[in-house]
Amino acid sequence: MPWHISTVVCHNRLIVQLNKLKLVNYRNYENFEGNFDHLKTIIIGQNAQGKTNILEAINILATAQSDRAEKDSDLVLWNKEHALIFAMIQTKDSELEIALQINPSGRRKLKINDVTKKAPQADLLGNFFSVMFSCDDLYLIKGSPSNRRNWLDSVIFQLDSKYHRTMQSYQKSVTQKNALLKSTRETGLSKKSLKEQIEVWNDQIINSGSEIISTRLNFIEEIKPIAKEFQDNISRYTEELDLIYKCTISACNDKEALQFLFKQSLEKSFEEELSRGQSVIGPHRDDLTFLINGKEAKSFASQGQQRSIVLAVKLAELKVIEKRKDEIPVLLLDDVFAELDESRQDFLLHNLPENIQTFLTTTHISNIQKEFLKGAQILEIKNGKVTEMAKCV
Amino acid sequence: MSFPKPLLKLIEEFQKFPSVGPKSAQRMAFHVLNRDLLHVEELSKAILNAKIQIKRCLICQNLSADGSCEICSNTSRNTGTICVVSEPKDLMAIERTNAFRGTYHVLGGLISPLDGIGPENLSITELLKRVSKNNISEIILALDTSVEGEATTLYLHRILSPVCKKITRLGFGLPAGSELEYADELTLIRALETRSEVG
Repeated sequence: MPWHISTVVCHNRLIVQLNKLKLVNYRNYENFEGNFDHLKTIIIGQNAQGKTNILEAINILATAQSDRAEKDSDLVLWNKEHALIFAMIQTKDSELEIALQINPSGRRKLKINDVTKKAPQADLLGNFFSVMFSCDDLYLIKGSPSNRRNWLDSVIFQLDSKYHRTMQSYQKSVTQKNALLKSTRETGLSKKSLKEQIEVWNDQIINSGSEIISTRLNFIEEIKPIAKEFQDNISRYTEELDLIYKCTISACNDKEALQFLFKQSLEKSFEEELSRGQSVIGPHRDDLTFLINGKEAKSFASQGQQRSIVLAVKLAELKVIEKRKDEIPVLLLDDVFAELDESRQDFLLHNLPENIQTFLTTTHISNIQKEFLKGAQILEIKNGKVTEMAKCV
Repeated sequence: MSFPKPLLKLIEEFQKFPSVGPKSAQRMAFHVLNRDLLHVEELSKAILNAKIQIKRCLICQNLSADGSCEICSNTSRNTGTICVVSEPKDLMAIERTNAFRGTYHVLGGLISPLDGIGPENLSITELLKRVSKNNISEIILALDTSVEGEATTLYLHRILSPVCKKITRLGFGLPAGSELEYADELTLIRALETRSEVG
């Protein structure tokens, strides 16, 4: 179906997904309120005024995690008891009022349509979808494996709420196992009884870990052809993109075989894990490799090629979410136009669904193409305070 | 200005209780101040008595005021079945059902290296002794379904399977009287996996 047919017009106004966002004691905002009735919202401000914080809050509503903050206490305004993100969302078939309270301790509370939810993280997922494209993403290729894992996970969290629970129990088992491996240095446990205790954690690590690996593999298989096509179009068929999941165990898509291989690898690395005092095998150590014409992009791709790859991957991410969830995600563009040349900007703008709701931050309005400014709502941010400027026509 | 020292101390002590924050602690401290001396004396006596008199049952490690607890000294209980739980409160939960007539074993926690709790900190040696000395036909592992509960279940299964033929665990499934659509995915998946024939 072409994008424009699904556009909903009501009272001569497009219905946007995120109608309202309120932030209380969130980052540098004591009180922010934004009402959005235009498909495009442009947030202008100098550096360090809090532009990105708004996009981050929107992204948390979709992914249940921040792409920047290490811990929840970073999200709460200094000396305040908790932060609040409140949003009104129009989905395909319902209206949602989401209130997420974030405590510095990491405890969260979630209410959806005034009903308190039991699992504030897992229950938040799957209501609202977003794709975040920030200038930091340009380091997706060059950056550390954890950057690429975080990206993978944040997309899959939105697609598959079970994945979040599996990840939580996987991480917990790994943390417990690491604590056990570390403690043996002090307790002087005999190797036999240590092995017995390690195995009960390994059993669980194998269970949840192989589920994580196969979910990631499936996702990569799904996104690969779409990203490839975008890359073909950006590069006019001169750069062939490939994505490979680099697994610390031999990855395969058969559940039982995977569990068997996982067990084998863990047994093999027992001594190494013991001497290093941490788990070295499993999806928490896996990586994703991008290839251009068969060569690893991390070492061989130019700056420009890397930007093209990220652009292709982000557009593909959008398509995968749209296809699987039958809902166009909200696009969050954090200062990317300053980093993309005109042809790549053009490519991005021309490959977006027509009725996608977009939030964009920039330091200078001159960074943005005139065509994009049409019909956009413009907010100016100064030190956590907002003034709304006239709408562009 | 701040509160007088003895009051501050009392607030501080209350705050060490589980799920008591600074505000509740303050309310509790003022409650103590507002009551008659007689009541407060009774409260402090009750705290001391509980601490001094409550001991572990020599057989199952449950709380008890004597050597062995009420359940272990009850001759009508089936001593051939042991239900292993983590804490006395879990034992009480199963007791309230009136559906179990065997005996218990209280571990005193779950394996959690992060909190410095290994198998040696739980009453596993006592359990092993009990199983090897008596004729035990079944051990039911009734532990949390958390990562730590699961690890403890797996560990106990390994340790106990040489000495006991039948080791079972609680079933997974839908909460009774609940609506299917409100169950989370994980519960539903497990309920599907452990589905049973009708009738």
